[in-house]
Amino acid sequence: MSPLAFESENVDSIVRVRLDGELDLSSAPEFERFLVGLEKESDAPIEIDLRRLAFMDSTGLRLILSADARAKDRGGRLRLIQGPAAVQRVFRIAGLEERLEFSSPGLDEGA
Amino acid sequence: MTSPDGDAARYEALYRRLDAVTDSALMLLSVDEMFEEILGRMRTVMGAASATVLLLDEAQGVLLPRTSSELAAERDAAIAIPIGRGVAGRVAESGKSEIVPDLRAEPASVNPTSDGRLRSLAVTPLVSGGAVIGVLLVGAEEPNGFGDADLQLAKVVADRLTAALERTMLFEREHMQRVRAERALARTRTLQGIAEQLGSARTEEEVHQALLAAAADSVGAVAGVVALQDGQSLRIVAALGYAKDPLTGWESFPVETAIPLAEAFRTGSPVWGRSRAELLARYPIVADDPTQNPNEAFVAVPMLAGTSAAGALALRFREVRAFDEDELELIVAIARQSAIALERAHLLRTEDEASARARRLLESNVIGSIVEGPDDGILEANDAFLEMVGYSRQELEAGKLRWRAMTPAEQQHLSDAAFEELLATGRAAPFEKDYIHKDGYRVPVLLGLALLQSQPLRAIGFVLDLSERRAAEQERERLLELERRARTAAEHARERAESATARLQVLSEAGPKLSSSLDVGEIAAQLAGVAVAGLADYAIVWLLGTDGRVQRTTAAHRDSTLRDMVERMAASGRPDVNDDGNLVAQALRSGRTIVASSIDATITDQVASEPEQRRIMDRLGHRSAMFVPLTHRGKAIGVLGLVRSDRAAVFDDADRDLAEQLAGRAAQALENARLYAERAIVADTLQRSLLPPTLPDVRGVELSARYRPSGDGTQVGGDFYDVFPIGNDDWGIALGDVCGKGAPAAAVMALSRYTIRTAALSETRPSAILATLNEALLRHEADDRFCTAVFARLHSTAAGQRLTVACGGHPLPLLVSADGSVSNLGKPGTLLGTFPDPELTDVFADLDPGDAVIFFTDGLTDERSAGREFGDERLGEIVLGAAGRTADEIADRLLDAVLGFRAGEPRDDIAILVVRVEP
Repeated sequence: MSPLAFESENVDSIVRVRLDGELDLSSAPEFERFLVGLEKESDAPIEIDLRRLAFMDSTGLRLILSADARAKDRGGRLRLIQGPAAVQRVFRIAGLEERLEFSSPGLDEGA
Repeated sequence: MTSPDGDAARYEALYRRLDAVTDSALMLLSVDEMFEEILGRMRTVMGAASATVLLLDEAQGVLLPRTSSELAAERDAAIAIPIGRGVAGRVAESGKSEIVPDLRAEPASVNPTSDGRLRSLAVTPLVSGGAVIGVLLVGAEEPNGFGDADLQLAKVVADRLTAALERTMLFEREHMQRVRAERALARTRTLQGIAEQLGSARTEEEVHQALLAAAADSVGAVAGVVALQDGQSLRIVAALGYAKDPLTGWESFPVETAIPLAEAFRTGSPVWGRSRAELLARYPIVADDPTQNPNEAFVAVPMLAGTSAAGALALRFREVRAFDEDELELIVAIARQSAIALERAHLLRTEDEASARARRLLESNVIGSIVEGPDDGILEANDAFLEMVGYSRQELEAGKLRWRAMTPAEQQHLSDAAFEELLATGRAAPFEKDYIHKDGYRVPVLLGLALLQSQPLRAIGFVLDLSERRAAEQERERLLELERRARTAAEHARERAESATARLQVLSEAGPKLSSSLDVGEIAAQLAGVAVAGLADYAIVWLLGTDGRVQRTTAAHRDSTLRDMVERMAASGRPDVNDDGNLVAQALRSGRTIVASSIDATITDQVASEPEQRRIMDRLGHRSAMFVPLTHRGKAIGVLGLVRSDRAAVFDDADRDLAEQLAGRAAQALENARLYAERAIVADTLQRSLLPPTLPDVRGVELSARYRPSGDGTQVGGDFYDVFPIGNDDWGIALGDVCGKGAPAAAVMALSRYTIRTAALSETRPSAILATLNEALLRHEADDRFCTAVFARLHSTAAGQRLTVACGGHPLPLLVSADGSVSNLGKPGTLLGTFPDPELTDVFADLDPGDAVIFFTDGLTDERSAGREFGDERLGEIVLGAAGRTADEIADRLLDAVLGFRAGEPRDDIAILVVRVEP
């Protein structure tokens, strides 16, 4: 298995990207390329589902901050579905839990 | 925005991992094991659903799945893909790699992966010597699963698989050759042993018994019989391993009997079977075999003398077994030899009975007989004799047959001696001589004489034509000679195979040895060591420095007690690279191997530049030498010198090939080591310039720091720490982590460290100092890198120690109280370099004697091993035991714990800084 698997689908008018695995120095570049590709394809807001992400390091953090910055440039925000505790801890230590647009798991899932 | 740097880094990492995999896998001698290993890892690395190798079967013109990482069922289904058909067939035909974005768009795919599960493929040919030998096929379950980079990676793997395959095939071929040579040798030995035994057997019974024993012994049979033709029957003349009684009733049987022995005799070909069940099925009559021996496999061969069979030999085996061609040939050869021996025994028997049968034979024509008179006249002769020597009865009657004239000059004395014996005793014992045929050639005969009357002399002679026996003996000699030659050839073949195997062994052992180190000195020592293990009596490696002169020498001797002497010689004078007469210099400058097949005084002069060297060389002994340049990308970086002392053989072409291959591998390893050392030196220098060389002395406080960059030390890490004075009683303590590695991270790190130092001069609050750093990072537009950092101000007076801490997106420091309690110090804040308004809060704590504060980066807590994180909890457990220990002890315990948690190098940089108030 690759350290990180990702896939996207269009749900309502947003692009949801599901991550599965580990987002770190070795997997971030490929995912970033994928993400930038999605941004070029459409103007729809992007939502990253972190629920199946097992690990994230500062490279992953940087990637998400960059994506959020690009979303802001386009007048929106990057949406994130909260990951497991180990992942949320990284956001918390970096002081980002309040600065990024997190939604709790479950809110969007019933739809 | 794509990140080509990131791509490069990722693929560099992939190649490194593949390197490690293929290097270790290449040592596996089984092609299948090796393929499975490499394909499995490749699938993991590429994130593919399957990876399969199909090899070309040239005879059938199809591709056959050889190894698959997953598709065992497909492999076992023995699918054959014709060249040109399907994706794999197309690639095999064109020799060009391709990506199939969607398999469903492929017409009539006949790939082994056509079960519909795979949607896209990356396919690349395995090319050896310009010809396609197979296809590597990587599959994904989704469409568009692969890009150009993946194809590139597949090509690299395909090249390595091909190289490994070539190597392994070579090994297998060598191995088969050796097995064949050994079998041939064993067979020759058996035949020779049998020839000796049969040669000493004088009677037919002895021949039969010797034959049986030898045949049974050579193939491990437990019982056997020999039968000879007797009219329309076969008569058993010898048996082995049977009780005598049970053979009763089988002493003689018609040649038409349906048993293996008779069938082998009738057909002139071997007959065999694996088991008793098979025997009974094919020869039901055997069920009546009264012996009922517990036998299984059986074999029967004809005893061929010329083209017709004189009899047959049958063997029985206790176990169920098959017979290979070699064994059958051996048994046939044994039987053939015994037929020759039988003939000889038959002749000998005839000879022994000759005189007793003389009178009877006189009247018959079976044997030539003559009556000799005085002088040398032959008075009478029967037709057999006349035919033997080519004369007619008319010529006999005309008195033309004179035995002296018919006897070769050098044999006259034999005849004279026989006549003396005849006159003295009345008979002459049979002796061998030649008659000269009327046509001039010699006829070998055995001649016995008996006196009929002495006055006038009348003697009768019995003449046995030995031509056939001579021919048989010559045939036996010829066979023996053939066998001697075969044996010599087999021994040569074995020697060749053994030396080829030894060479492969040297090379395959050298690979991992040479690549096991990134230290130039160690590699040179390994090279010298491998060279004396496989090639030479002693070896010297000369390596050039950056100035192009010999900078380093390493030596080894097969006899380790002489190693010092060789080293002394090597060290006593370095060859001058500009001396045209020096062989080392010649090898360096020409880039070619110089072989000195005999070393005389001139050569010694060309190698030994100092009298001391020559003295040692003379003591070590030298017969031939070879100087092989170590060349990387056309540039000579050193020379491998090999010397064989006078006991050993001169270096030949095979030695030279081996030495050059060894030198090639060593040069590659040395170049890697040099690059590695260069990178490591640069990284180390940079890192040192970014971290404080020593921590300052702070009154009443112990300070201890530990730093471990991740990976192999060739890249600057992103973690930093600093402790510096601010005024008289205050100290600044900083620790941070810049996202990423390498030069860009180092630049941000330097910026952070100096910004903090500068800000601390004007700001007192840690939060303000971090805010200044945040602004500086935001202004540093070249990079969107952020940084997490903790800054603490230590106010240290005789009255006590107060620590004020602010944290910017960084793990909070741990406060370990003297009483053993552990708590976080500070309040979480926002990482720096991203937002204009970071949350940064100052929190202070008064430290009591024995209290320790641990600052660390997330490399400590994020360290992972097999999916588990070292984590905050483990950290907590370790620091619980930290109370009462010194700052150094605490730092060591933490580092040891995390390094022990995961074998090998840490994945992320680790920085630890411990501040402890003296108790």
